[in-house]
Amino acid sequence: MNFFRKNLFPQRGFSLIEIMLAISTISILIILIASFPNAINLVTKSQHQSLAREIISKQIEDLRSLSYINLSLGETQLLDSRLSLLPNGNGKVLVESCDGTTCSNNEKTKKITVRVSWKEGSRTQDVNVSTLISEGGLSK
Amino acid sequence: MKIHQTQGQTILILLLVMSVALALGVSIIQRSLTDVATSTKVEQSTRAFYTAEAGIERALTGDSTGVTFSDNNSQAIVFDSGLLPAQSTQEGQAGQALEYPPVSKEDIAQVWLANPSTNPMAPHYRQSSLDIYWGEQNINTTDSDNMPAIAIVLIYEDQGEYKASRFYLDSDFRRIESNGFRDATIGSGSCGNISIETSMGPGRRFYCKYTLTDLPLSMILLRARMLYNKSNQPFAVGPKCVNDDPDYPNDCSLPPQARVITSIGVSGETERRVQLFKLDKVVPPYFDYAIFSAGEISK
Repeated sequence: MNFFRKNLFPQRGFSLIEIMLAISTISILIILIASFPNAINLVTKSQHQSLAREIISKQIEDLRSLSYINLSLGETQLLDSRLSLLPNGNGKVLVESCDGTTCSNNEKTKKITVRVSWKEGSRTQDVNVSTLISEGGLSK
Repeated sequence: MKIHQTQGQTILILLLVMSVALALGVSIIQRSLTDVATSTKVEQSTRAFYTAEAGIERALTGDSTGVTFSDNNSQAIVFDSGLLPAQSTQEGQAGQALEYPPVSKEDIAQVWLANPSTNPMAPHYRQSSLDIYWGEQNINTTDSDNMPAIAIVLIYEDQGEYKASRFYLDSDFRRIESNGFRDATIGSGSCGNISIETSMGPGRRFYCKYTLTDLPLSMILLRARMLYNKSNQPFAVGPKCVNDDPDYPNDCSLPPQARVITSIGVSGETERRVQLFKLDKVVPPYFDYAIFSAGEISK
């Protein structure tokens, strides 16, 4: 008798499995949507990195075209119009005499370090590249 | 008896929407991850390249021990070949052939046959034959535009006077009638599968080889100009031991005159390799015009 009653008056509502599936679906969607801004930030950050790398490359090639004597020691600001494309972007060029550990033979060599930094959200990112330029070297 | 079946499309719609959104989201995240990984690698690659250049700069000042930059975690390992080409170790045997980096059209490759480091220049190579190698091996023989020819000027000394001898070699026999060059595919030459060891290493491949014979004594300099080629093609000169000079039967090596410096820069996971071919002494570019001019050259 109970068996027939269940079929004559079917219960309406949602089964447990349906509810669980719906909840898991919605939660996956929410997680995806929440990570969109993160992904966009990552893409922007990598674009900035590429730009910083280009700026540094150009600066080093420009320095190589100068004659060795004209490379004045000390730190100077990097001047490049593309720095304005980076948020809070600024760059420095450091020219120093090669230190004793790297240049053990007192050869006429200068160490160039070019550094570009910018702000990614609240964090500061920076890229730096070093190379050596010597008298009678590649630029001769 | 009716069996009630549950009806409903909600879950189906939800599943479809979810799969579309999932596909979209996953592709966006994957692209951004790849982007980040690529730009990091490119940045490291740039650093590695400039570190490799730094290694070469140091090697040019005489120190080939390499470079380490501790502040950005990159270093360069440098290999200096020493003076090339290598001299022969046994009497009567040929020394190493000297190979130039690929030569472009109308560009000049210069090979010393007397020793440029001595003053006055001491004769060094004393054979009456010389092997010339040129052209890239897998050349398309139907494209006559890229098949290279060589115009060689050989400077030698004859009783206190400097003289020039000229040779013109063509790898394409179809041009011989119009340009009057020597056919490098027959006689003292052959074109096809040439592979020798040179200053750049073993198993170096060329398209043609030609043996110049009956050359004068006291040779000083060989200047070769590559013609007709569209792409940069290799060029090498090798000793050919005939040992027929009665006074110097065994001097079968080209004089040491060049150096190859290889620098491998490493930063993070990336590596960049820079190679420099250096000739210590080269005659100035207007030298060719001096040979042909009737009067004096004023620089």
